Amino acid sequence: MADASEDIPEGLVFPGLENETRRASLLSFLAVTIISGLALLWPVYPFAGGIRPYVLGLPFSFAWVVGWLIVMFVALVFLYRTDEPGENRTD
Amino acid sequence: MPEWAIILLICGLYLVLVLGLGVWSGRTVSASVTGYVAGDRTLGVVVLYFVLGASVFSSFAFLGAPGWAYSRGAAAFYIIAYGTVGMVPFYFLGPRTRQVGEELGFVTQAEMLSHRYDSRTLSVVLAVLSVVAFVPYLTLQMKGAGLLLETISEGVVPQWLGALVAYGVVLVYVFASGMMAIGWTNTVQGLFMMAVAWFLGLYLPEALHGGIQPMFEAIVANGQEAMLEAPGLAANGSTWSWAGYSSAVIVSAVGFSMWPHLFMRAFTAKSDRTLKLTVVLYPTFQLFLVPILLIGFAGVLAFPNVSPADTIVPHLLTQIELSPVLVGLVCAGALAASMSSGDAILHSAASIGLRDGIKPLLTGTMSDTRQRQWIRGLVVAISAAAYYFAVFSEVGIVALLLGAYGGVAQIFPLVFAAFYWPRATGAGALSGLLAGIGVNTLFLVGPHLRPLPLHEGVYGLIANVAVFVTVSLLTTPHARDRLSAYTDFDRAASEQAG
Repeated sequence: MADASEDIPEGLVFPGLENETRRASLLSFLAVTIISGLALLWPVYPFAGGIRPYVLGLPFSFAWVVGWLIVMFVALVFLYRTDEPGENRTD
Repeated sequence: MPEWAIILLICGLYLVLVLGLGVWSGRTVSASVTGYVAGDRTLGVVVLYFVLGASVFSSFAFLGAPGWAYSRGAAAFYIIAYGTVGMVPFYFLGPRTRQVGEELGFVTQAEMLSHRYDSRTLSVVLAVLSVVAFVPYLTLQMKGAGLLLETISEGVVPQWLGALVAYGVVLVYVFASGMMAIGWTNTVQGLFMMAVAWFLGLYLPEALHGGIQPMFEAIVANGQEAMLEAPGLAANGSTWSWAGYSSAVIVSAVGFSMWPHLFMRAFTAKSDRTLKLTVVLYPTFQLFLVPILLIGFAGVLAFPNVSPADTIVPHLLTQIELSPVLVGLVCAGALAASMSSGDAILHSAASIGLRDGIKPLLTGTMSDTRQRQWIRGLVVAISAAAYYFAVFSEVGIVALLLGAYGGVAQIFPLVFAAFYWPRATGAGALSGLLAGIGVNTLFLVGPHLRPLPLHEGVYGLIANVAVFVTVSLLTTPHARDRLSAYTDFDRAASEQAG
């Protein structure tokens, strides 16, 4: 089995990047994910961690977190729509 | 009839309904291991949505999360924060896992990883890690159910009996029907929990404070604004540190999709689209944490000094004027939360215990019938162990569970590299995982050793990745045949050429 290394790539391999529209949607999705993640952590969240203004009755610190949950949901819906239906690996 | 009797009667009827549904649902799948463990890979969006959602709505959601909001305020937002991005990796990893599972016949996480990394030891290590993480998790669910029934029956049903009855029901249907019982009972229980959560989350602030904003304004007016400012309070009531909050969010988000009972559901999905759509819809389930936290905040001024904080929900229920029928339905909803997570954990723990822990150690093959018998035996054994801890033992379960989160997060690099880094080797994976678990455990038991006040899982992940990458590069890669199911070489090659 140990037929060694000849042609195993050294780096990371991400399929699906060869198609340009697909790559654009994947990269923009990735950007939104990273922004959402950062928005909920130090050092960004402290700027939004106060109580006022209230949003729909919730303190701003609470509404901020819920808001990013909704942003992520919208981003996922967009990503899903750009995925081709029945996109299975073609072996 | 006294009020508690009406409440118990409703809970009892509810348990009978769940039992019937659970046992009945097993009729539709084959009597194979794939049928028992992965529902014959036939689950559609609706059932899968509730199965994954139930892992958010455990006893923790109805008891622990309101308890956090009640005692630690904004710190509880962390539960929503990590779920926001925590499920995203599953959108990519889930469908690939499903394809490999279908192609090579896997039904557990460790089966796949031990094939990818060609290591039986890895399988056993993962099985031990999973079961060690699962038993305290299940114990907490049982304690939650018992505590709830004890509080609302005014002590007529002691905790040991409440836990025994609720988990007797779970044991019967998991034993009889496996995955299909979990799918269908979680769907019904999930709908029920959602209704209860929104009802209580909107009703309680209204009844106690005249609305949601007035409730928060009253908390501020009472001089407790520190509670509502991120990142809230630490367990001892002082302000939580940003380092502690942020690293807890990161570790939980990384570990979230790696929980074996959640990850394994990739093998149950009917198709890639089904799985992806389920992940897309997942944040809508997360949204139900909003009313859940509102319930906790509603108790802050109305009932100060409830101890332990986790009993705030049953405490509220017994203190406010509600019709006993309504209280009964709410309690059934909370029981649903406990049982719908407990059943999934129990089923996964038993499946993993056999497939990944015991089978690799035996020589020779095992028939399907024999495997199902073993899994069912383990279902009984694991319930008994968790019941023992829930009722008779005072071991620090919560500490164990928190430690388990850091441990589970250590699986992430292995799963990620399985699909995206063909150069990753078995020796690297095993040593990385062990280094990660070791460092995580070290800083868990010796918090004063941490160089910075970060979650121990962060240190574990750093050690894990460093060792994993170094050892992988120093060892011989796996043969192309083995990797071909995980990495699409043809596509990757054409990409490099183009």
